[in-house]
Amino acid sequence: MSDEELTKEKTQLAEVDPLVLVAKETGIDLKILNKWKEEFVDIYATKFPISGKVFIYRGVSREEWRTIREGLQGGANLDEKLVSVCTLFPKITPDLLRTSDIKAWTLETLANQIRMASDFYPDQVAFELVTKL
Amino acid sequence: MDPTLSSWIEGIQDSSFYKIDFPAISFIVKALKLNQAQAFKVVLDINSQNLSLVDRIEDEIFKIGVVEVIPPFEDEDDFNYLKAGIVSTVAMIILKISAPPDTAEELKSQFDELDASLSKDTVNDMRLIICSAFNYKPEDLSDWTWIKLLTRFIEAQKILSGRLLVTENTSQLPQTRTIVDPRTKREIDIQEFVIQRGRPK
Repeated sequence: MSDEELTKEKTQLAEVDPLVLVAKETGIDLKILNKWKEEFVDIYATKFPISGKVFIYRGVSREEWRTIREGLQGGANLDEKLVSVCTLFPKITPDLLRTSDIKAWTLETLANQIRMASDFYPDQVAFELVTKL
Repeated sequence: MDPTLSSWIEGIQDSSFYKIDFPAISFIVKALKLNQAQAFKVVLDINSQNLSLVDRIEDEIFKIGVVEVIPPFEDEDDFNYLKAGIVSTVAMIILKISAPPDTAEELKSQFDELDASLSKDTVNDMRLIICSAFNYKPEDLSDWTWIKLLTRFIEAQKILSGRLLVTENTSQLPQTRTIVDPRTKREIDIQEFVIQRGRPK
């Protein structure tokens, strides 16, 4: 592909609504994606490079976070709970978690992405947001 | 004065205000009082495994430390709809700016940073020089006018460089006295200056 063709393709891709791309990739109806966007404002899609699996998720609100952590019984896994509350596609169920579709690190990676989407930052990054008055 | 405005002015004077910018929302926060911050740190350390208590403490720190939200909350419930990490991050930053650091290295770096920023602050330097010459504490000077500060600064500089004699009466004017130099055994004249330190009226 020539440079010109590559630039043309990049421009075309940039013009496409990301929701349209996600709808094509996952087969989810665009109306459902728009409904999620309306309800949660920020929704995110991530594609795991080796398995090619796509997950759509959202951030967690302060109220939901408190509820999730209050409800954790001894030994319960915070990441598991967080991922099941915030992943919009595919629906994360205890059964799905036991299948080979969810690899050992999928859950942890997804949970970290949800944390980032919820504005949890490492200390170093957090301090870059601060200005002394 | 409007309590919010007076809190703002107090914070700016104490250099204890900070702005935290997230992509869609910003917060002006103030440092907590030292003993308050230390108490929160101890409670958090002891209860680090008690997740719901940690969340409640973070909520409390946020509510005490945040002076202004930009754009402002429209509803009291807006706090609960903030992204969860915003409250944790803001609370963590408030604690960091309010309590002494955990390691000697961090303390040294904080010290150096503050030392460098104070050195750039001319008014602060003037305050320190006034306090060196007169019997004031730096906080005594906080409600002075600029002209009063400048006047006392000029007086302080004269005192510290020995150019000003602050005397109560003529008996305290410089006296010339003759003494014998113990090494050379020769007589020499010396002038005695009397400098009284105190608060000028």
